[in-house]
Amino acid sequence: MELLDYFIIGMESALSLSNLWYCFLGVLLGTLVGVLPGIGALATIALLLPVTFHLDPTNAIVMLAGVYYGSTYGGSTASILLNLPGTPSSAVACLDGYPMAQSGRAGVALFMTTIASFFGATVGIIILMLFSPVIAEVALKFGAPEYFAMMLLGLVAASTISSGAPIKGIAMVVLGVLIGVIGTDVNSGMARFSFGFPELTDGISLVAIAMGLFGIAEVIASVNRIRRGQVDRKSITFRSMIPTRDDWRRSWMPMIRGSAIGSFFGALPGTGGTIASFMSYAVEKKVAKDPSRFGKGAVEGITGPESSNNACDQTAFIPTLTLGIPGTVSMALMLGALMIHGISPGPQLMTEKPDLFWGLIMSFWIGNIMLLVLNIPLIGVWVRLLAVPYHMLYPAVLVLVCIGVFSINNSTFDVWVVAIFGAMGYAMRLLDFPPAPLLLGYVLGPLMEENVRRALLISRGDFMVFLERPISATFIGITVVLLVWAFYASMRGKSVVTAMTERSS
Amino acid sequence: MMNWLHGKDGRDLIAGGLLIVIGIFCAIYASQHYPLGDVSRMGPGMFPTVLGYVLAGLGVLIALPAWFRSGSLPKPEYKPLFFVLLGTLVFALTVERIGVVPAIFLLTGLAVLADNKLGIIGTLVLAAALSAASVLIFLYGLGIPIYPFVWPF
Repeated sequence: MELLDYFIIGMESALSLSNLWYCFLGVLLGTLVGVLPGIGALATIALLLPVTFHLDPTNAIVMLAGVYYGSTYGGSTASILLNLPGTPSSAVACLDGYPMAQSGRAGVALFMTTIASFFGATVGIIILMLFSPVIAEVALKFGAPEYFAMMLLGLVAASTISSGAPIKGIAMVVLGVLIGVIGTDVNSGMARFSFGFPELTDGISLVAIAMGLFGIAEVIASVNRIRRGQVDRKSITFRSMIPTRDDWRRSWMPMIRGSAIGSFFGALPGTGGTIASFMSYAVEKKVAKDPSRFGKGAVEGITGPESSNNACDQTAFIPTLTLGIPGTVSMALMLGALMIHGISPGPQLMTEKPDLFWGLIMSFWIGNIMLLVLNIPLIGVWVRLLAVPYHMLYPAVLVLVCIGVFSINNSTFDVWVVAIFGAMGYAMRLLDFPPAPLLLGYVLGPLMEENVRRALLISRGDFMVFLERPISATFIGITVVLLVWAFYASMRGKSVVTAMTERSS
Repeated sequence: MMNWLHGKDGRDLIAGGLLIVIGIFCAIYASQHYPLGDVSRMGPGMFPTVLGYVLAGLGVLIALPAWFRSGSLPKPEYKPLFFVLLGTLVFALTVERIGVVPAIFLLTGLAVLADNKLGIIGTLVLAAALSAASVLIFLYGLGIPIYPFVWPF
């Protein structure tokens, strides 16, 4: 039983006092920022990155991962109580969660989302444990052409299967890759696009870009948008949280279906929790005997999507940890955190650093159990937090962004970079350009350039090298299909997610 | 004002136009400053040059259909944009000269002007709390050498 050995190695590492503490800190912070609209997991992970430089790599990644999946738990709270999603992936929870709250069933809705989240995460972790070793073994045989083709597929998938116009997503990937070019070229030692700034020869810092695009730009866009509603705190008592037998009966199949959908979309590079939860909602509506109940407080309309986006969060670690290819921006930031510590995720990670790899996965179990405790008995605390007005919150976010970025190198240059990317991120929002593909392109760009150069060096400039090898040819084939579809869709001005939300809302 | 945009999708025209400008700039700059090499031995200029043209091409694909359909122009919220960015820049300019705590006060003071909901007392309390938290976390918690106050005289 190899899996049992892994389980033991992982548990030993995850149950160490320091990992338990950082796991707790991570899920606590994650729930906090998940509950509060206007601060996302992404900005939080970016804010914590400078802090993790000073930690042991396992502690660091355990904490960052905790923020990531913890925020998904908290995200649905604001959706249900205020009709205001705390995180993008919990937008679906508004559709039926808010009607439930209005009809006096907020407690049940909060309880069932927590249970569904836990169930989905559990399924996701099991899939992660079962499939990671298999995929890592296949990936060990990958050469430069396969890596290039896979990253190309990941980037194209991330930019086309998103909520905006696919072609704008692709443009942002290209722009991100170009920003990634800034700095010293590894092959020739030449400084590219440094425009005479010595600071730019090291490239632009990932933290500064992420904080600009997701921290500053988010604040600018939210200042006049976020309005706090009134929450009736007293309505959420323990007694009100007890679901009826009917709630359970309606929920267990959606939870299973949702977890399966989420696990699939999580493992696929480029698709995240938002798509997974919308898919699950669409499926539940389709299979329901009485679809007219949806949108009016159907419990399966929250349990399905919630288990889906939590399963997705866990399986998203499969491509990140086994291939070194982040499927989402949060994953890219976590990859960045590992690389800062000199650990390059990839197929070797599992064998070279088993305590980190399995320790991280086991910390997911522990973290999810902690979240269960944090979310059910302590729900009152989180509800009270919703009363903190945004006009006190956003200056705090700005201060943390500025001091966090400044503290990395004690350099004000990085603060300037944050301001520039903040302005750029806001402009991108106005022009409907998605920021996530840009960051993914920035992270994967240098790796892609290296692999394409290596592949063409070996093949003496013959592009057929990408099509002659079966695995790389498959990746290229899927990429081409996605691109053709994207151009077709952009001519008609639609995207999958908008088409889906239009139908379901 | 902007009458020529009437009946056209101004948002996507601007979006596409910007991509074309950025793309062509990157491609020309890279191809003139860095050796291109050839496909089997790519120089440092090859990758950015190709990408620059791809970006410009995507810009054309975004702008072209926008010319033939109507749409709306984006409406920026100038006040938050101005005060948030100004606060950040003032922080960058002052943090090394006068120290972290005064820089945080300036940043908080400018940031609250973005929506003007917090009064003077509230702002001062918030700035003091944020300064204390920052110094505690970064200087004492993480041991990063930041200077709470710098006396310029």
